[in-house]
Amino acid sequence: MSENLSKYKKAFVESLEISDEKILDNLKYNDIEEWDSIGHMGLISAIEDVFEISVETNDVIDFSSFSKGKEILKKYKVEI
Amino acid sequence: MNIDLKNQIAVITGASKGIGVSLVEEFSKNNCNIWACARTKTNEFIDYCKKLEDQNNVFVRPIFFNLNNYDEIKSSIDHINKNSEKIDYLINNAGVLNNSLFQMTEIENFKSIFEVNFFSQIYLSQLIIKKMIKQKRGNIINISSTSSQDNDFGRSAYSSSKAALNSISKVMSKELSRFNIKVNVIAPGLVDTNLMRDNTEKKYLDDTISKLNVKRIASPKEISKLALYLASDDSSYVSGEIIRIDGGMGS
Repeated sequence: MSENLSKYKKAFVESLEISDEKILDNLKYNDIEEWDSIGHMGLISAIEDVFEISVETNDVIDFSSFSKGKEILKKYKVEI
Repeated sequence: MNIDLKNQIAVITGASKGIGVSLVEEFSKNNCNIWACARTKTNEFIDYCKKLEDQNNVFVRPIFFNLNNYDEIKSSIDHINKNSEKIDYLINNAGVLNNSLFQMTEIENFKSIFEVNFFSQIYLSQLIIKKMIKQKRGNIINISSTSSQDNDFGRSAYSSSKAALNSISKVMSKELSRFNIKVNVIAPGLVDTNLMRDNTEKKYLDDTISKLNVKRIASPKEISKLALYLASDDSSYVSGEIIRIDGGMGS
């Protein structure tokens, strides 16, 4: 697993209190109780922190799944 | 009232005028470090910040940007975020006042008032709140006006922009409490500032003062003292409030 993927997963696990990493690949916004609109703010904050980036508001809105997030982060020169 | 804000960091907008000058003075006197945001760069304001630094052994860093320019807001707040390990307080104090009858106010005037009093403050807050969410701690004080509730004659744009600020502050308070971020509003009445004096007819001012319980207008310092209270641990249970400080206006 690449270092960035490991960091990306860790941000999800810690901010959304996920116990089973296996669900991450198919995880979408609102699939679990913890990833609601408020949880989303915490998740984005964790991702910004770990990759030292600032995600624009339109990308915060578009960040609708674990896989979509990977695409979005490419714009910020973070390859996962 | 002495409140120790040692090692705390505040971002204060509209810092070079009126209530903002007093906020910077009172917070620095109480050991708070400050990013003092103002629109116009003047040596007078830079010297004033330096004087407060020397007197109070804190940093008071002036930073200049135009609230009508989102690129300037972004680059300035990025600078603050990069150069502060944390931000404890955001005081959205900057504001503009327009005095004209509803039917005499061009739509562009409504937009320009809302731009400074509402939209730019939302944008600036979003940028600062990102850091507060990471910290899981923050305290936001929005400076509104009694006009937001009293809907004063001739102040349709100003009153409605401040009413919008009140409303969004309450929503922010609900949404951000999960991250231990408090949001409160101070709604001052008549305060002795150039903004108020330049936009208030003497006859209206005298008439209003005669109806106040305290029979005088407020000093900016009296408003700052309330902000200090909201910044202190003494106000830990105060959240999502719109606090009028108006000398008994209409009571």
